[in-house]
Amino acid sequence: MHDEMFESDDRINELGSSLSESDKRAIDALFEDGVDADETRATRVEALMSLLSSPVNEERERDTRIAIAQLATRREHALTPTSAGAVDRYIEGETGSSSADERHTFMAEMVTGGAPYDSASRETLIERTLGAIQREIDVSEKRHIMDTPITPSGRFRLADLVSMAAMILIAASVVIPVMGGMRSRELKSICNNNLAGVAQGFGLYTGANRDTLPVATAGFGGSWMDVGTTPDRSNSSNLFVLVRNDYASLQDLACPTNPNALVDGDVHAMTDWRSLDEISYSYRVMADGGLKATSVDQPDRVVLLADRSPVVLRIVAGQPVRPEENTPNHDSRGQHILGLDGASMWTVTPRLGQGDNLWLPRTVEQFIYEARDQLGIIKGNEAPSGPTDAFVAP
Amino acid sequence: MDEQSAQKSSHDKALAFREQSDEEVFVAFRDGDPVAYRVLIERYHDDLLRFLTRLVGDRAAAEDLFQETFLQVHLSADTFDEARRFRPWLFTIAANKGRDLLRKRKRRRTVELSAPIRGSDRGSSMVDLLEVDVPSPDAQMDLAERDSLVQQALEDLGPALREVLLLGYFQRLSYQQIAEDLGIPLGTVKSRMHAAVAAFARSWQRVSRESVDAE
Repeated sequence: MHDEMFESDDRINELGSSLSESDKRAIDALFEDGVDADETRATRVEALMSLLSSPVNEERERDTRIAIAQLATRREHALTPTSAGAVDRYIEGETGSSSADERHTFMAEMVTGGAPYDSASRETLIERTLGAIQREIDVSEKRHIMDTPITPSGRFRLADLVSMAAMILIAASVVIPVMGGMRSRELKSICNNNLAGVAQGFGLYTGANRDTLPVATAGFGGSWMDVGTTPDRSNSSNLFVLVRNDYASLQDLACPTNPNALVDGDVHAMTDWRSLDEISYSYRVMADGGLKATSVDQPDRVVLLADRSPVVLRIVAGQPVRPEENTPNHDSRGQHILGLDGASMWTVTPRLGQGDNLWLPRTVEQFIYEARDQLGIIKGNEAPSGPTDAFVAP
Repeated sequence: MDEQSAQKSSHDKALAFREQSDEEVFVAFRDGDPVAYRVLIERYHDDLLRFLTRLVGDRAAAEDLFQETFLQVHLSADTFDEARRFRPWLFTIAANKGRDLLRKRKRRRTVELSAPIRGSDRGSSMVDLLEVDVPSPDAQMDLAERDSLVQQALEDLGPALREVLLLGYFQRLSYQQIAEDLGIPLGTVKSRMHAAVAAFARSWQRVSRESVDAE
C-alpha cells in the first residue's frame, strides 16, 4: 500500500490553496475518512472543485477533472459498516464468525489462492532465480578483484613520500612485469568464470526449450556478420537470446580484456549488441533450423562459444585474413573455448584436433591457406560442414 | 567432502531450515549460506508469484519480476532490519518492482485523461459483501476459470486500488503496522483498504455475471 499511488490526493492539496478553510476541511475529511464521508459533503466538494475549472487554464481544468473523477471513484467504492468490520477483522488477524466474515475470507482466499503451480515450472523458476543471484555474486566478486587498490593508503610526511618514491622507482622494473603476468592470469580467470556462467545459462535454456540451442531467427538472410542490424543478418543476435531471456547477463558475455565490451543496457528492449567491437565472444554459426543439443553424439567435440573471432574483425576492417591468429582478447596469447558438454578450455592456437580451424568452416579451410591474401574470402553466408566442424563468429 | 556427502549435508541443512522462521533463514543467507536462500525462494514461490501475477496481469512478466525481487533482496540484504518481519519487506520490494513495470507499460500507451474512470457510476450505493455472488468454498467451480475471473476483476480495479488490495491480503500486516510503514493516518489506511475491497467486490460481481451470461 503505497502513498505514491494516490497522487491525485496531492493534486487536490495543490488545488486546495484556492479554497476556503471550511472547504479544505471538507476535502480533508473526505480523504481521511474516505468512503465514510456523506453524500452531501462529497457533492459539495465536487461542486467546489468544478468551480476551479477555467477555460483559459487547461492544466488546471485537467487537474480538476482528475480530482473529481478520483472523488467519484472513492465515494463509489464504499463498504457497508458490517462488511467494513469483516475486512478490518481479517486484516487485524482476528477471527470473525459472521456471514460477512465468512464471505470476505473466502473472497480474500480467491485473490491470494489459485490453481497450483506445476512442479517443473516451479523448479525452473527457482533455478533461474538462483542462477541470476549467482551471476550477480560472480560479477560483484569480479568487480571486487578489479577495484581492489594495489597502492597503500594513509598519510605520510614528505620525507616518507620521497623515500617511498625512490623505492617504487627501483622496484618498478622488477615488479611491473610480474604484476602484468598476475593481472593477465586474473583476467583469464575472470573470462573463464564468464564461460562457466554462460554454460549454466545454455544448460537452463536448452532445458526449457526442447534441447534447442538459442537462435533468434529461422535462418540468415544472406549474412551472419552484420552485427546490430536485424536478427536474420547477425549471428550474435542468436547468442543475445540468452541475455534477452535472462539466462546470461551482459557482464557474463563481456571479457575484461575487451575495452569496448557492453556491460549494461536495457536488454529486454534489445535484440543484439550494437556493434562488432562490443562483442567479446563468438558463438557457433548454425545451419538453418538451429541445432538440438541432444542430437549430437560427441558434445565434447562441439564448440559453442569462444573468445571473439579475429577473422571477422579483419574482414569487416577490409584486411586479409590470418586464420592462425588468436583472438584479440588476452593480448592475442590464446582463447577460451566452451564446448557443448559445458567444459571450457584454454588453447594457444585456433587449430583444434584434426587441424580444424576455430574461425573458419571446413569448406573454406580447404583452400584458404593458398588464398589467404585475397580479400573477402569469407562472405558471411558460410555454414559449418557438420556438428563437429568448429566455426564461431562474429 | 565428496559430492554425495555434500548433497546430504545440503539436504540436512534444508530440512533444518524448514523448522526456522523466515527471519532466521534470511540471516543465515546473509551470513553466506546458499542453502538458506534456496529455502526462502522455495518457501515464497507460490505466494509471491501469485501476488505478482495478480498485480501485473501476466505470468511471464510476473516470473521476471519474481527473479528481480529476489535479486533485489540479495542486493539489499544488509539493509534488512532483523527486528522486522521478512514477509512484508519481500512483498514491498515486489510491489515496487511491479509498480515500475506498470509505469513503463503506461508510458508506452497514450492515456486519455478525459476518459471516465472505469466503473464510475454516480449515485451507486455502498457495497454489502453479503450481496456479492461469491461462490461458496465447496462449490465445484473450475479453479483455472476462477483464477481467470479473479484476474479480470482485479484488472478492472486500476493499479492503485489493485496494489492496496493485494498488499493488504498478501503482506499480512495490521493496519497500525501499515500506517507506521507508510507514515499515513490509520483512518486513511482503513479507508483505502475498504475502498479496494468494495471495488473488487463490485468488479467481481460484474465479471462473474458476464461469465454466467456468456455460458
